[in-house]
Amino acid sequence: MGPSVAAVLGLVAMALISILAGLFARRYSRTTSDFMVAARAVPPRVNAAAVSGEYLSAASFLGVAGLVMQFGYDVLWYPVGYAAGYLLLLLFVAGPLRRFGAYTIPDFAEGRFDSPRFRRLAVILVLVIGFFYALPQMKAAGLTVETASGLPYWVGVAVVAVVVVTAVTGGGMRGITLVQSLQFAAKIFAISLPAFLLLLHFGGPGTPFATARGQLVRLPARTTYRVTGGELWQLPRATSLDVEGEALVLWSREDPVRAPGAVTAEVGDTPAPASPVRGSKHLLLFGNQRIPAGTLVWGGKATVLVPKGQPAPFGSTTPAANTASWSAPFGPLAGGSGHPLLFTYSLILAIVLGTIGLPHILVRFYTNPDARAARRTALMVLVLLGAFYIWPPVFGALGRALDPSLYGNNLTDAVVLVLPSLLGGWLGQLLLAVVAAGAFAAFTSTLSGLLVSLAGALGHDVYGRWLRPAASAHRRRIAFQVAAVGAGALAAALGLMVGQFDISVLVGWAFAIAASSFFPLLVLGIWWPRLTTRAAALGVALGGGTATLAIVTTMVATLSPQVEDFLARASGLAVILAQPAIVTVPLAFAAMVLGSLLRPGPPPGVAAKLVQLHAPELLGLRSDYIPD
Amino acid sequence: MIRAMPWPALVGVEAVFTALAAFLVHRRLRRRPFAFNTAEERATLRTLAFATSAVASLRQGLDRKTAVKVLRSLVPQSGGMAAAIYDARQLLAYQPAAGSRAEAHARHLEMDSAACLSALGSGRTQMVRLHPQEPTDCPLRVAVVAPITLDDHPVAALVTYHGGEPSPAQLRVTADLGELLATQLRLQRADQQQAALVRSELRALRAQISPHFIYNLLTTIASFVRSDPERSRELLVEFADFSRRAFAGPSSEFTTLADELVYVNQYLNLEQARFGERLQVRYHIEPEVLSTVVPALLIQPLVENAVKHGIEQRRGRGTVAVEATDQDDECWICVRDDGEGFPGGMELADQQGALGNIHRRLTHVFGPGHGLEVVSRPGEGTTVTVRVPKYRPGVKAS
Repeated sequence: MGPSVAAVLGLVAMALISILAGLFARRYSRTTSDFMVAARAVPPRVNAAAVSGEYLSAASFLGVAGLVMQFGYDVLWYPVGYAAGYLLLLLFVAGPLRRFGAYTIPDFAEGRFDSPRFRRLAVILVLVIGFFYALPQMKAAGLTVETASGLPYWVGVAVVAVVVVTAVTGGGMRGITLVQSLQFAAKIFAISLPAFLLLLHFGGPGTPFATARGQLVRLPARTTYRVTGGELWQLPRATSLDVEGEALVLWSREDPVRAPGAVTAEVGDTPAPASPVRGSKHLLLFGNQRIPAGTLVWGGKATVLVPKGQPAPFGSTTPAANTASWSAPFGPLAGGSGHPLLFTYSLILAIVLGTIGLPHILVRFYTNPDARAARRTALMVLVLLGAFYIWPPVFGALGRALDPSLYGNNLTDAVVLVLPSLLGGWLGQLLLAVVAAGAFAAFTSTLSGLLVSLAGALGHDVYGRWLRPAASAHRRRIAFQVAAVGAGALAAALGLMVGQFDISVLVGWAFAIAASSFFPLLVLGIWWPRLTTRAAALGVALGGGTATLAIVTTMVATLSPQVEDFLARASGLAVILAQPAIVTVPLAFAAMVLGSLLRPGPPPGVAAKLVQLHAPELLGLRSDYIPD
Repeated sequence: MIRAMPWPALVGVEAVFTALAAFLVHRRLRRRPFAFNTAEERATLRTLAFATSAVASLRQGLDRKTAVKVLRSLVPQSGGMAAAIYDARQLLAYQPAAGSRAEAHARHLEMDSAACLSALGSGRTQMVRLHPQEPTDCPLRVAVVAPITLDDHPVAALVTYHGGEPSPAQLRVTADLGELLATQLRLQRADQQQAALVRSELRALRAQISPHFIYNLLTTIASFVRSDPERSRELLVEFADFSRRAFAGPSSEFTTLADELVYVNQYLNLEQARFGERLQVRYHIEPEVLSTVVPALLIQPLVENAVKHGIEQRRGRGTVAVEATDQDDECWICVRDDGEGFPGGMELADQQGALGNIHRRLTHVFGPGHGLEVVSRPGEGTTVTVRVPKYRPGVKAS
């Protein structure tokens, strides 16, 4: 699809609305008469909308739909887990943490264990998780701007980084409850309305969903693909193609043709080079030709027309098994790993437990006046997220039925942005603008929350506490702004390198690290008096460290064929490295529990801390009453 | 670059990094003095480590628990075979040195406690002979009692036990260790006194509602009794509510910003009744910081000050603005007036009265960087800013 004026307008409109709402909230002053009404704390429903607004990132808005389209059934664990995490937050963390009064997770680590050194460890993990979470937001930003305006991917990343960094350093978009709740409204509106109208237009859910469930997806219309050299296609069945001019391809029936670059010759080179992979052969395509099922790699730039009704070609990132088991459990996502059960459970653990450890989410609960309000907020977040997460999978299924050409271009992550234009005319353009605005809200709200967390950790903790504890307020402020610029630039630079990973997979990794470090810390720290400082620090470092290491290994593996080959042979290890939570979460818990039991000695004053965490405010208990 | 690397090399690189990280963490946690190698340096470090650990324990006061902790690190330094700590009435803890067979003496402690306590009462370092009558299985023969004095009163004693006649150096070591413990106890007492001082200043705050304010307010209410009885009733109720809190003083050292603002609002309502149109009030309160925990009676005195300088001392209208803004990990509270202002800075640390009191309380609780900041220019009014961290261990509303 080409660039769209409407989509760009949608982006700009959302940016303006956010900034104006921020300015309004900051500048608005009250006179005495209406002060008392306004002085009441933020009600839980508004706060819940703000939490949801900050939480629903591009991974939820774009990524889940893209993954559902690509992999099908198994992906449903992502939205289920994203929402279900708040159940654990509600049950175990929200109330006690609010009573404790901690603002950030490092605050809790320091306060609960009376250890400024533990705080440093927590700050380092905040930085790791924050950066891992910022990468997919950057990818989503690049993708959205690319799809909407036709500008290159890197321009999108750069533009969004500049906008968000400016807003954060200028204070325009910083954690303002009003703005965040507004952005939640924008997101749920932008995803539900187009999905609803699409369903209406294409005859209710029955027909498209039946098509999506089918073994083979066929192109609903004649489709033009522009391919570049090295691009890989998987043809599930024999397919007719119409090539403009001529094009050289490397085709193979059995072996997947790996490694882009396997075809080095351009059309016109004679003779065709020897085929590097067994059972493959070079073909010179021209005019209308029928290619047997298999994998092919394009030798150079070409324009290819695929007639209506032909099986849709799949790109390199969609597994071949997609055609058979899209609507069944243990399909291509989990099944592709060779250990579907292990993979699925590890994924669920990471996502459900990771929510609690996200640094930019817990700070929002500080706005609640008391523990009761915090619990109500968590409950309402659960409801709001449930209402939101119905829609991305709907988009995924509609995408498979209505526009399977996205598979061939590896553009499934853009499905939410592409589908509305199928409605055609002004309605399609209007919906496109709405969806683009929603996507903008998604990545800017999460990104600005993350940037504030990252810049806070760097500017206030690393600079203001370790390097220059005596720094003045003014210098700390400057440090915060420099840190925001630096963190934004770094995240953007890293975001340029993660183009080949799916948005939701990247987010899943941030969750896995959070689940393996902060989740055990918060749950045991709140509920287990005998936890010792040393064991808690050991568990956090061990869980967070191993999870990060495993994920970095997986990322590096995609760059290095040797590592990839090795992991392909040891598939169990590959699953654990790609989804480490099932090993690292129990590891962190075990380290904390065993460490505390083997060398007992909880920090002094633990009884008073637990009273502060758990005694309801209405009892009026004070820690002074508790002898240590 | 990475593409060209064989996977074993990558795994190797990762392993090296992991090992390095593990080593650094281990080193941080153990705090082993790797860099110090000579016996003297190690001895110095041991002594310093003992001094700091004694600081940590004794700053909580002297009781059985801290006495045991102190003795554990003290015995190896004392040069004796065992050590004990008495307070003015009884034995608190007894700790034999490792491998000294001094455990046997634990059975005889009853016998020499009277002698130790009387030596303590004398206020001078003394030697006490142990079980002089019969030769026992106990290897200890002599105890050195070093009294620990606070304000010239012996409050505790450090006792070291020796197998024979102690050398003058050993006597001296015991006396010095006793003096070190005394210093720590003095520091602990200073901490307590500081906290007590802050508490008493807090209590003193309630008395600072000026009689002038009450007199003027009551006159104002009286003037409404005929013309607007409903308004006078409202004001009286509000005044009753306000005065209950003002005279009783705050119930605890900290409260939430929301609570504090309710009190400020009551006060400003009363002041507005007094000044009528002359006093304009503007609030800018960001709801995100309403639950921040702030020192009690933090803002009202600042507002009172602003009313005094911005309105009372001049003719015509004036505006008092109360702002609380969300600044990442801090809440910034500003009280502004547009009165005359004053040139130059203001030395708050030694100032008597409400502002000095608030400044001292803030720096005591949040550290030296968090006192009041007063900015004023002649003719442009005065702004007082407080930066309260959103979380600080130990600071909680109750």
